[in-house]
Amino acid sequence: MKKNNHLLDDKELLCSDDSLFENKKEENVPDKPKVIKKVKKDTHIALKVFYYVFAILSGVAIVSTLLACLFYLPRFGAVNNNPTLNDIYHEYIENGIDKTGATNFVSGMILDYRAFDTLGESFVLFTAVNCVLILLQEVKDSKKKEDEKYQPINDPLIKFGCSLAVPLIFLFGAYVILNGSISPGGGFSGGAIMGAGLIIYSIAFGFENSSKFFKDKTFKAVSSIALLTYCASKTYSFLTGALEVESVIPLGVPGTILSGGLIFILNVAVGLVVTCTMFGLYSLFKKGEI
Amino acid sequence: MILEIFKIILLISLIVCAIAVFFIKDVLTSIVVFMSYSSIMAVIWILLQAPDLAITEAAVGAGVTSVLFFITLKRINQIDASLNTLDKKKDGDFHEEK
Repeated sequence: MKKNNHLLDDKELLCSDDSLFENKKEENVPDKPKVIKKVKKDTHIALKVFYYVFAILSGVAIVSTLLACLFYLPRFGAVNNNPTLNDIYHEYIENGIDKTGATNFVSGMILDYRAFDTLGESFVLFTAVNCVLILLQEVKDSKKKEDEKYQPINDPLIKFGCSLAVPLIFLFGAYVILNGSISPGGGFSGGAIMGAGLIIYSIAFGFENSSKFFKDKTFKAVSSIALLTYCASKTYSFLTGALEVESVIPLGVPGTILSGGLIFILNVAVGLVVTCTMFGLYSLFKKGEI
Repeated sequence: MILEIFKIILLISLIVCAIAVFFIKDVLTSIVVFMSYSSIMAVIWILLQAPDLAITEAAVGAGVTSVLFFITLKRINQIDASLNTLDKKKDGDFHEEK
């Protein structure tokens, strides 16, 4: 029965929206002369043509660049004739820990040698949240009615279990992020754990409590500051590497928590971005806003 | 030897889970099976000496992805079936069904 009620409500809402829309249209028509409409149509068509041309040109450019890059790839299966393929991993295994200062060499690889890839991955997550934000953001009028649906389940068992588990989950997430250069883990895994902790907290105690410390503004500020910090620190290390200047940041003693130079900062930045993304996706899917 | 048998059992259950996700018709059940697939995969990553991937798989694959799936199903009214009986009793519509 309840299902049907929801459906009916939705239908009514839809109808009311449509009728509002139609009213607006009817109001608009007599006010504006036909000439303006024609001009608008012309600009509309011009924009459309521009978009088509732009899309085709950029598509051709990207595809031709990628195809041109194919010629520089080594031939498939020809491992023995490619010295670059055979030499590079000796370098990584022998000198990797000395050069990056990270005992956990997976971190050293993804945040030092392949740091640009990790930046791309963080931006993919950020872009994903923004796309969901555009798609799932709900109309503001219907929000107040919908809010009643998102009350937490008032279950003492769930609340008690979460009050025990959530601090431990946060502690473990922070441990995984901060020890990224020493032990297995790092920004992505630790961020996912902390995001899961936030999700569990908001399942048990509701969005009212979680919005006390995590709002729309918090999400935007934290994720953009973390991404900018990542960009800035990596720009610094790329510049010093390219200009062959000595980096000021010390690598530290391998095995201590601050070792690895920039890797510590980068781990924290990636962890913050992933945490915000996980919780942002959850709350967007759940109630249509962060 | 025991570890080898354990590995084989894990791999077989991984394949069974992967095929079962495809063939189960109930969406909710298939998501739960998918969660178990991710958990088995996390154990396999540990056995393959990739603890980094194991942590990520357990947190993202078994945790966050399934939660997102559940919420999506809730939004498109696919998993109201189990809650409906409770609601009926509350609303007093239970007699109408009979």
